[in-house]
Amino acid sequence: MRNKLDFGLTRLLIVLMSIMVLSTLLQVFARFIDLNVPFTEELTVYAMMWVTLFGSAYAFGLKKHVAIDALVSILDASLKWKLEVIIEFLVAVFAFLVLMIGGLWFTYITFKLGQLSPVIQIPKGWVYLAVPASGLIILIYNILNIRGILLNRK
Amino acid sequence: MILSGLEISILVLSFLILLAAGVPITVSISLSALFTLSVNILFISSATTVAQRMINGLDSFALLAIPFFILAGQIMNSGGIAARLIAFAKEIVGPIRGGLVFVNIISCTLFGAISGSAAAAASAIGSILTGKMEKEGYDKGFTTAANVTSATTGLLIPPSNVLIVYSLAAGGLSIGALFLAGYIPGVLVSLAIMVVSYLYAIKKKYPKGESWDGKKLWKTCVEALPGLMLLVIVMGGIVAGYFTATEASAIAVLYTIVLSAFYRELTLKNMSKILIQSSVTTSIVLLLVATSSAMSWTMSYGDLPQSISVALLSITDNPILVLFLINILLLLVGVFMDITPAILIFTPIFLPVVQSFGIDPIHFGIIMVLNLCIGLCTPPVGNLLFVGASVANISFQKILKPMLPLYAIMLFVLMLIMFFPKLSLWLPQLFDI
Repeated sequence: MRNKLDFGLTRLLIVLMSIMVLSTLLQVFARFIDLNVPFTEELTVYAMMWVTLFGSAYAFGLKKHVAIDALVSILDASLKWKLEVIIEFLVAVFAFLVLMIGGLWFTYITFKLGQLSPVIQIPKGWVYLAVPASGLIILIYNILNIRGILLNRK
Repeated sequence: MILSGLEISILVLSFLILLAAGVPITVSISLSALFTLSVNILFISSATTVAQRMINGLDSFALLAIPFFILAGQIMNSGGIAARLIAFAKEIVGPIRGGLVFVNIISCTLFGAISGSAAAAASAIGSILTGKMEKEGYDKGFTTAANVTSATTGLLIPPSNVLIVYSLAAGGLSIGALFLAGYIPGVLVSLAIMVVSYLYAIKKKYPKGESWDGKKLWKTCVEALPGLMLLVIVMGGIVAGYFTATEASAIAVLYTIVLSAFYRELTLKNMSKILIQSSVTTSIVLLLVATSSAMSWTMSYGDLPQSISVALLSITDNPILVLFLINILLLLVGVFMDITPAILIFTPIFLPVVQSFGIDPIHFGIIMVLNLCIGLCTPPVGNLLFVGASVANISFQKILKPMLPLYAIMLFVLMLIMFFPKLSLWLPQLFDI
C-alpha cells in the first residue's frame, strides 16, 4: 500500500514540478519574442498548489514536517510510542476536519457558484478538489504510520 | 468582532501545547486557528474557512520563486557547485589564523547568497568542512556555531525565500528592493561573525593556512565564477527590469541545470531524485505559508492586530522604544516559532504600528528577518541549529556555549541595522527601485 502510494505521489510531484518550471520559462521567452501565452501564470500557480498539497501528504508519510521533537526524544520507550500515536492521531484530525470536511465543503461551494478560473476558464472547483484528496491520502498515511508504531513498540 | 480573553487563551494555549507535544508546526497552527474560530462560528463554517484561507494563502505568483530557488539550490548542491565555492573561499583567506573557520563563513555566505536557503548552506558547507576542521584540531562546538550563524546570511542576502514571504505579508512590497536592501546587512553579519571567530582563533592558537598563491587564487576563482555568475543573472535581471523575481528564479533553475550538465555531474536519474526532494522541501515551506495565512486571517478577523498595537502604544509613544519593544517580542517569537510563520503572522500586526511612525517597510523587513534569524539558531525551535548539529554529528547542547558571543554580535548588528536605516535603504535608493 505505502509503496504504491509513494510511487504514485512521487511521479505526480515530478510532473507538477516540471510543469511549473517549463511554464514559467515559456512565459519569459514568449515575452522576449512578443508571443502571447496568457495561461502560464495561472497554470503555474495551480501546479504549485497541487505540489504543496500532495507534497505535504507525501511528507506526512515520511514524517518530514517540521516539529519540536524534544519531548518525544526524552521519553523512554514505553511512553514514547504512545505519544507518537497521539501525534499521528492529531495529524489525522487535521487531515479529516480541515482538509477533508472543510476542503470538500469549500470545493462544493465553488462548484455550485460556478466559479471559473479567470484565464483558462475551467471550474475552479477542480483545482480545489486537491484539498480533500490530499486530506484522504494523509489519513491513509496516518493509519500506516500508526500501524508501524504499534508493530515496532517495545 | 473582537476576540474575547477566552478565545485568545484558546488560540495561544492550544498552539503551545500542540507544539510542545511534538505535533508538526503546520498542524498545530491550523488546529489552533480552527478551535478559536469554532468558539463563535458553526463548526463546519470554521473548517471551511480554514481550508479556504489556506488555499488563498497559496494563490500567488510571487510565491513561486520559493520552489524555484529551492530547486536551483538542490541542483547546485549535487552539481558540484558548492565544492568549487569552498575551494575558492579557501584561497581567499589564505594565511589568516583559523583560516578554515573563515572558509566556512565565506562559503556559507556565498552559498546562502546563491541558493537562498540557510539550511541548505549550513548542511552543504558544514558536511564538507567538518571532517577537515576536526583533523586540524578545531573545536567542533565553535566551528559548528560559526557555521550555523553564518548560514543565516543566506536569508538576508538575495535571493532569499523569507524576504519573498515578507513582501507578501506586507501586502506586495517590491521584491527587488527588498533583495537589494538585504546585501549590506547580510555582509555585516558575516563580517561580525568573522571578527568573533578571529578573536577565538587567536585565543585558541589555531593554525595558519598556506600563504597566498596568486595562481591558485586565480584558478579557483575561474572555477567558482560560473556559480557566482548566477547572482549577477538573477539580481541583474531583476534590477534591470528584464524579469520578475519569480521569472528570475525559474531562469536560475535553467542555468543551474545547464551548468551541472556541463560539469557532467547531473544525470536524468539524479534529476528525478532532485525534483522529488525539492517538491517535498517546497511543500513543507508552503504548507507553513498556507496554515499561517489561515492563522493570520483568524487573528485579524478577531481584531487582534488592532488590540496589540493599541496595547503597544499605550505603553509608550516613543518610536525608538516601540521599535525596541517589537524587537524584544520578535526575539521571543523567534525562539518558539519558525521564521516563515512568524513573518506571515506578525508582519500584519507590527508593520502598521511602525509605519505610523514613518519607518520604511523595507527597513522594517530587514530588521524583522535579521531578528528572527537569531531565533533560528536557538532551541527549542531552531531549525538551523539542529541542521548544523546533525551535520557535524554533535549534540546541540555543546554548541550553545560557543554560540553566546555569536548571539551577542548578531544582536549588535541588529542594533546597527535598526538605528541606521541607510544600511538597508541605501542600495535600493541607489538603483531607484
